[in-house]
Amino acid sequence: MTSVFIFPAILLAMALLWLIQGILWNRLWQKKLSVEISFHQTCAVEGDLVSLTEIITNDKFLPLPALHVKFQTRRGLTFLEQGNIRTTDQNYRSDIFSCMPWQQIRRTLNIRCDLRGYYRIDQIQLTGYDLLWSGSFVETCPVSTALYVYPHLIDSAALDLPLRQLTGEYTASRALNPDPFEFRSIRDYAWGDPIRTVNWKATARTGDLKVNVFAPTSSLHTVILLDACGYRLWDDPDLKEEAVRLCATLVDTLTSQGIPTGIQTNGTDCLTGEIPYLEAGAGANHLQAAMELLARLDMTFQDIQGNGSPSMESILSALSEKNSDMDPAYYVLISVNRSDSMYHAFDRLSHCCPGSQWFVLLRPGETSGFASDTIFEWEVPYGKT
Amino acid sequence: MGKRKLWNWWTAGKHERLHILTAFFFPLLYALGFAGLFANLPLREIGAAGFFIWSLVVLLHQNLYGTRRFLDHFSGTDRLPSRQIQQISAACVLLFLLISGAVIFTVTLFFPRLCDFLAALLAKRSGTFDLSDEPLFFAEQSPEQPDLSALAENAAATPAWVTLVNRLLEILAVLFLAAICFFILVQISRRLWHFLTRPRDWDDDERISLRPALFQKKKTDARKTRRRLRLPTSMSEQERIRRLYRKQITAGYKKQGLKDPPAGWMSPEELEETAHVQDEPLHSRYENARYGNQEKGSHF
Repeated sequence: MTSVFIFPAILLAMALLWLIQGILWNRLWQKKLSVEISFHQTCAVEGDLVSLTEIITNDKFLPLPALHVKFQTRRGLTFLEQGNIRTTDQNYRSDIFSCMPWQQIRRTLNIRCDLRGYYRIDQIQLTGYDLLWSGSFVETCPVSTALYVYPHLIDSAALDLPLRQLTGEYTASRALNPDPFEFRSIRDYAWGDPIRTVNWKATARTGDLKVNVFAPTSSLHTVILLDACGYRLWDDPDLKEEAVRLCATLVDTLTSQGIPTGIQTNGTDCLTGEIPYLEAGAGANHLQAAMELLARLDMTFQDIQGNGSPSMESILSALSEKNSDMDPAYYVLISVNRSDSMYHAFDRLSHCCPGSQWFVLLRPGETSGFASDTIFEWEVPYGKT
Repeated sequence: MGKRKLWNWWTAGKHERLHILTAFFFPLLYALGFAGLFANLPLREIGAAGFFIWSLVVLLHQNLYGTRRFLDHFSGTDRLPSRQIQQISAACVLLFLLISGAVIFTVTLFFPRLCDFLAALLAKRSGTFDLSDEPLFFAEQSPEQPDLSALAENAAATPAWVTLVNRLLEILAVLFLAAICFFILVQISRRLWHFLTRPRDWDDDERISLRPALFQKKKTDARKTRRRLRLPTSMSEQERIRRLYRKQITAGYKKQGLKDPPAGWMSPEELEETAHVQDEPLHSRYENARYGNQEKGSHF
């Protein structure tokens, strides 16, 4: 004979077991569970394929039937397996794992770098489930991995002429502008040598007129002025991206020829929020620093009322007012903006610093209307990314 | 909502809650047993056992249903480890059901007794209810046993050796059964471990089985070396390290069949390479002792 209490007893035991398994998984699911996520490379160029590895380690007895790993990155990276991604303002990636006890799972995701930028993943969200799928548990973990995607270099014959003009000007100026503080050697006097270069001690010692030879000026450099401001009311991001690629190509070409090159811009650094500035330099590390600056550059320009970024016209005016003898430099302006005010500002700068150039970026069928051998029109076809 | 509508709602519209409906079936069966219908059938026992099985089926259903719903929801996801999810879920739920069965059975045994005890306590205080009238739980009385002593009157006494043999056989049987049980348990756990750690190439994910901390070597090589270095001598630590190192190298030389003794000009790497000795903790300690600032000299 059985008691009628057997029914509530079974129901009670069942409810208790249900509750206990929920509590057990809730308490223990994240113990000794570690998730690492990292890019294989630290830098890549637009169009490159890179890999991202997710490592899930469940170093405990409790299995995890399902584990959701979610993270987000900026748009511009294309995951080749598109099933797990939702792209809105950012890329939201969601991967599902299932972990046995004491198991480590490594998953490699292939990514195509479509757009230059600085892609950082600083946190991931984990969601676990209990055995009866009645509850889910969420946890956020900090991670730290980043990828620089450098702008793609332009391989175009159209750049030859302006580059040859610029490097020719630079070479000629170096020969014409000796640095009086950079002594190189002593030679015999030749007709036309200034009298102030005569080395009187050497002349007295040898009996012939001797003059000092100075090294070319070392402070001569090129500064690329990259304008983040648009020309029309609506923004054309592709045109600006091409401007960044043009800037990267110029920096790469000039530094490879040993010409110190710097970058000045009115865009903002996406990491610091400040306006970046790169001093002129020509080493391998300098090129990397320039590429990183360009990768991190946010080209969505807001005027001075927005975030305090100065307009390129004001930068050009400030450079025109600077004493060019103290800081001899060639300026290469890259801008989408072809307004009259910009033209006048560049004209003033060209008078102070002869040899400066302006690349005006245009769409097919457009023209700048400026007739000058230092202003180059750079046509960007539609649909080019 | 009318009766017909309610029935339709349960059976047609909401199939997923049908198991709740079935929960009423077993108490109904139990009640029928009390009512005296189908008197030749043990309806009360069937009702109770059925409800017990129903509880386990509900837990199993919840797991299977949840798994299916999850897999359906994320069916479009790349690299969804559906087979591993099913496998883990099945293994866990099997274990869970075994535990659940044991727990529910235990609770059903003790809960009614507790209720009886509480009811008896209440009755004793109020004096209105007597449990002895109607036992509620497993209180069946066994029928009287027949007296068979008359049949055994003429039987001879059992010899002592038979009793002894019987006792020995009993012990052997118990030992044999215990050995079989132990063997089966070992085999099951080994196969379970193999099943859990077997590499499976279900997808592109790389899976690595970790060694549980419980079974990890507690004494690391460094600790072993430290212990070996604790020699009960009056030598300094550097001397002890050098002595131990020399012993290892000379042993290695002997093993290699080299007759020439180790040369003093040889570096530790060269010595270890020649003697085929690999002991990284000892190597680093020897280098410290040999090239450190405290003592200088030849290798040995």
